[in-house]
Amino acid sequence: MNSVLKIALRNVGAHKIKTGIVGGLIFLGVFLIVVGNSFLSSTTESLRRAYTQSVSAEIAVIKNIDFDYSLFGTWNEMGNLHVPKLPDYDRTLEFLQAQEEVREITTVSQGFLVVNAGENDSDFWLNGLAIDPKSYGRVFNVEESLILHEGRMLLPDEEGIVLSKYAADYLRDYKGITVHPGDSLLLNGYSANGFRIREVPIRGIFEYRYVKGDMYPMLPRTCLMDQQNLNLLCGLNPPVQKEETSALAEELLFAPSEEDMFGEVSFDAGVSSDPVETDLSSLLGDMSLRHSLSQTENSDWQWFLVSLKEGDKKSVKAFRENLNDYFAEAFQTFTPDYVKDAPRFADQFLASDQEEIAYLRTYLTEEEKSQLSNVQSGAQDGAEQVSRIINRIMEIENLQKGSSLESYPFDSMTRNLMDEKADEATTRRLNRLMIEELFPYTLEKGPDYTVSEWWHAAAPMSMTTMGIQAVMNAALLILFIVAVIIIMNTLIISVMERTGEIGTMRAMGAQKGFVFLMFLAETLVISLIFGLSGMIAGSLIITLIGSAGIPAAEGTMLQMIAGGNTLYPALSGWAVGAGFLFMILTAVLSILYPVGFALQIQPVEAMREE
Amino acid sequence: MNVVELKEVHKDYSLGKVNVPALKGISLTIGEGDFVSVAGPSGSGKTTLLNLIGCIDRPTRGELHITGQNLERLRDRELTELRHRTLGFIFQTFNLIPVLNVYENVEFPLLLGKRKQSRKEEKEWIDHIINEVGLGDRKKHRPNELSGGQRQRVAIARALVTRPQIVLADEPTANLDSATSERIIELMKKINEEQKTTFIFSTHDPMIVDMVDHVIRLHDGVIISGSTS
Repeated sequence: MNSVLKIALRNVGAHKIKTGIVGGLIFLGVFLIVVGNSFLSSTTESLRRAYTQSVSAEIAVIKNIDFDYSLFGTWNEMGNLHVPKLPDYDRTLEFLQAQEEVREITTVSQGFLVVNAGENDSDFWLNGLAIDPKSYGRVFNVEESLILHEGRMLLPDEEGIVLSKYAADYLRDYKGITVHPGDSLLLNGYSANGFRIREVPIRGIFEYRYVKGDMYPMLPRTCLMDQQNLNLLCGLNPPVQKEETSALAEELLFAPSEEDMFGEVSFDAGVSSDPVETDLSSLLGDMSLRHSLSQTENSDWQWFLVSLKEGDKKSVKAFRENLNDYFAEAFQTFTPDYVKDAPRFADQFLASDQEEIAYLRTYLTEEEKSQLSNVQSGAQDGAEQVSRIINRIMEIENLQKGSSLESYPFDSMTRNLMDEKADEATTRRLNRLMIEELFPYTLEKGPDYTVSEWWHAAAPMSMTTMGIQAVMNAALLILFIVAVIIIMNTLIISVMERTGEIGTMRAMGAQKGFVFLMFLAETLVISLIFGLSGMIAGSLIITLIGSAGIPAAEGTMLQMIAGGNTLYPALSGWAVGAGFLFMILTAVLSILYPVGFALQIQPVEAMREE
Repeated sequence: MNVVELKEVHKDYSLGKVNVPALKGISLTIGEGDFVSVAGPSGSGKTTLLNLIGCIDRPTRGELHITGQNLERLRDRELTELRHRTLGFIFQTFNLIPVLNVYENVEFPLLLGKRKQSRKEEKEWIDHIINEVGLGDRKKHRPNELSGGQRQRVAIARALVTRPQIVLADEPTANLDSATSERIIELMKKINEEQKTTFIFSTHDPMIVDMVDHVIRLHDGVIISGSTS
């Protein structure tokens, strides 16, 4: 073994060109892996710190949905979607608070708003984040993470908006509107329920201290505001006052009529009475009324943002992974009130929606039609029958019972049922009825949540960094393949040059194993020397750059992925590990064929004249 | 006792689709302790015959026994062991390992097998052999720092270091001056007498031809004289 190593080491020194090519490639590969991955995982880490401190907290809990979502908007191919409101807010909050890993919890909702800048002007969009100022301040250290240029932060139970500096500057520079705290801003909201306009007082003008990125438009346009205004503007289940709720609910529950279902219900406290405002929110109002019977006010939030106690990244991951299981367990015995109420609402649905039923009927068998008549005439319990019948329709539509209802495109199904005649509002109402009233069996399992880590809430920015990382890893994979091919070729030439030498060794009694070990040792020695050099050089460079920091200019890609104005790259253990793996894999993969070639060399080659 | 025995040995080489016979039914025996030369014009099959006896090539047909062992059924590993244990090689082109110095080159065959003597004895033996071939002051030199003659002396030392029963030498003195040649042949003759080592040469050197016990003469792959000792 000593002799193998001795010969290997001597050959490394003797065959300088071969050593140079093989070693150079391995050095380069390891160096790039260590530097590149350290750099990128530093950006991810930097981004994580910035976002968890200022925007997203560590964990986000939302209702289970099947489309991409983030605090900067939620989209699918159909357009902008809203994250549904959190199911069973109170119990979930209580449950989350009971978890020992949890430090603080806050709630937010998101919706897009348009600044009304005169009829002939183009739109200026804002990303409205509704916050609960009390808990927001506990999760995010506002003084640390926000720069307040003017005014102050939103106070609890106060309506208003804290505008981003970018938005204020933009309005001044491009729309000719100068805004200061104390002024009011006319905001448009658009949702499936139509346009709403409200006048919202400006409380302050702020900027995120660490979270940057003018390249992605929704971040600098993100403004903090009160929940009621956002919900009203964007049609996100507006909160209602308790007294009103009870009165209206009683009417709805016990004396349902067309007028109650469609009649005007005003929740606006007279902030704006613009004629553009439509009354379509009442269609949703009837849903939230019911919910508010058993739930506290202001529970109609989209997101729980959960900050965790100090812990490593692994525990965050574990916590996230376990949270869904915890939820399932915690809510096992629980039946939400609206499920208990389902039969009554199903009756209401049947009584009040003759037209829809007529469309549904076209899908039904004769037997089902008669069942439906029985339900309508009160001869049978409504909910069970109707859910069965609707389920039949779902089967016709190639659906499977038990699949997540939320994942099913109710919009399109309802539109099919309605023969495309339904307007948005009716469609939406039907959707909700189907989900909440007609399919209680899926709700009995308890609330169904999507629990994600910070990067999901901060999706557009974190995805960019991860995308860059993926591209870089793909480039490294190509480098790896090219390196293996070049090294293999070099080693083949080296083996051919040494045919006589190998033949001589074999003639003198060297077994094939000896030849194998000799070449393996030679390549591994080169790999180790140059790979470790690359690792050390990469580590040094990263450490040097890390102590100085890379300044990121305003509005650059680097600023966005660095999550701030300076990036401090830190050596990543993962990067070093990947470099090591690259080194060993390159050596082993590129030696296989040349060694196979060397093992075929016969001892008689020793006698050939060179 | 015969250390080498060939019965009707044929060796063909294929050049594309054409079979070129190199040896055409060779039968011979070489006894233990013989000092034999294979002679003949180039292309007569000298090297092929040496390769077969040296177990670095296999015959196309015929039986080949080395120290009584039939080689036909031996696998590569066993054949390699047999070469290591029984045979020493001296090549026409020296075939030293370029990255090893004189001492290390001579030592090399000993490292391929299990140690049979103490480290000290081994070192003394290597030093003795190197002194015998007249390179006592060149032990740390690499092959490229030596003359052709010196290289061949290293090769001879290396062939003798395992105390083989048979040493095969392809033109061993072709690159040596006559004085060194004489010393080398005397050295080999001495080892031949002391250790009963069998030496088989292919050579034109008349000095060797004079000193050998007998000469096997080949012509066109056929023995024309000297098939038995």
